[in-house]
Amino acid sequence: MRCLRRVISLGRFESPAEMFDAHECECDNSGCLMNESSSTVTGEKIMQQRSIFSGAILMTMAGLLTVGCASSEERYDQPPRESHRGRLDDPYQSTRADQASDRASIPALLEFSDLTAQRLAQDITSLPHVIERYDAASKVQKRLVLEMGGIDNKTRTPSTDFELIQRRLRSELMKSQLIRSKFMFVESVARQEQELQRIQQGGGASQTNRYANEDIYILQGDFMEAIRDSRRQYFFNFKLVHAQTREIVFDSSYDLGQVTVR
Amino acid sequence: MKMPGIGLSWMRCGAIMLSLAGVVAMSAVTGCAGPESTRLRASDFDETLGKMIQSLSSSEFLAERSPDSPPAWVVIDKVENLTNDVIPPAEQWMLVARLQSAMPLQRFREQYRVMFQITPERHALLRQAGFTGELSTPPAITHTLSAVFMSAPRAGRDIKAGMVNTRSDYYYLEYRLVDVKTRETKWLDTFEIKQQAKGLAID
Repeated sequence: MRCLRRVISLGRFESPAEMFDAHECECDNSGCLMNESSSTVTGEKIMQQRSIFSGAILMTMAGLLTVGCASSEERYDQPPRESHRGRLDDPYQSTRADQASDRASIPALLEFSDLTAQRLAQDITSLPHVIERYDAASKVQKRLVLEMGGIDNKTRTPSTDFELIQRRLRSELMKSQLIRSKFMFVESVARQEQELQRIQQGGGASQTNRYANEDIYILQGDFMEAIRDSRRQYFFNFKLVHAQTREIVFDSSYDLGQVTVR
Repeated sequence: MKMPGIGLSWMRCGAIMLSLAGVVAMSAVTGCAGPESTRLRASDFDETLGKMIQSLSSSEFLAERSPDSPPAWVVIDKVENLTNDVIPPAEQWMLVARLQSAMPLQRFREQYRVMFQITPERHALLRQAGFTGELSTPPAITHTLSAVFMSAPRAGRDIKAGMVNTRSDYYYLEYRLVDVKTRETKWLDTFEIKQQAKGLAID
């Protein structure tokens, strides 16, 4: 066996088939030479080795064929990469179902939430409303309150999809240390009061904190759609609104044209 | 007398048979058909929880705390399932309880003064279980650990067949720790999964 390995590494034989004929060989620094005269292997053994070898090749080919069959079956127009069966490596990849669906494209919505999060993180430091908030007593900059506002959905895509994107946007914003230092992210009063009722089992429930309207900013989303034949034009918009003055202090929009692939 | 020619052909025939058997076996194992469901799998939950455990352990919420911090009493809540998947209540509890039980409770108490409390539902069950002693008022819960699962399904229709035969689901799994009183989200992390499947749902 050691001899055969040496043979392969030195490349003295033309093909792997020849390797099986080299049942005995002698090696030196220049390479290996077959020693025909000292052969003790019978013709039957050689045939056996050949059959095993051809069997191994066939097995490999069959394996490749099977793998090919599995992957070609799952292939769509542009096959997204899958890590496990059916699960995509990259959630931003567009699937056949994305392309054929009448709803807003998920990869586009993800891209929109990423873009808005980036823009908001960049613009936040330049917003006068945010940088000029100081506590009168301590002279320390106050953390403002960021609350999730409603979604105005005027598309045929379900509102839950946009709520998902809104949550995702909040999560992206929370990853920014700069934004966390300026804003505290709070749950809605209704939701948290309900939670308080549960954990205190209805007895002696005290109220959750309320904040001054001048410190509250609300993240609202508007989603609209125009349909012409097979083309759908979407307009996605997120805005940050000051609760007291209702002023829009930040606005990010995204246009998406989509044609359903049949 | 041995006939080498016949022996060779038998050997080759055997090798071919062996290969064919291999093809059949591998086809049975891997299967030629694609995945037929976009449901969340147990392995998806395992992966999600692994990430959440790591994230909560290294969170800013814990980093800011010390043994002298005011006590934080945490209680879990079940998953709020807003996906199209059917997740039974037992699983919904399990998917948050596993995160709680993965935390080193003693270290949390000593280093961060974070303590976990049984859920109010379990507290009420103490009486039913035959506990006759006085049930004193437990310390007020300060934080809740919960999760929300959302999904956005998309389906494609085959014009020729007239049936929906492709589907993909984008899942958004969010875990969070919320201050009960201030309503502030103290820690939050997410996990995203996209699944696709081909074929008729009836299959």
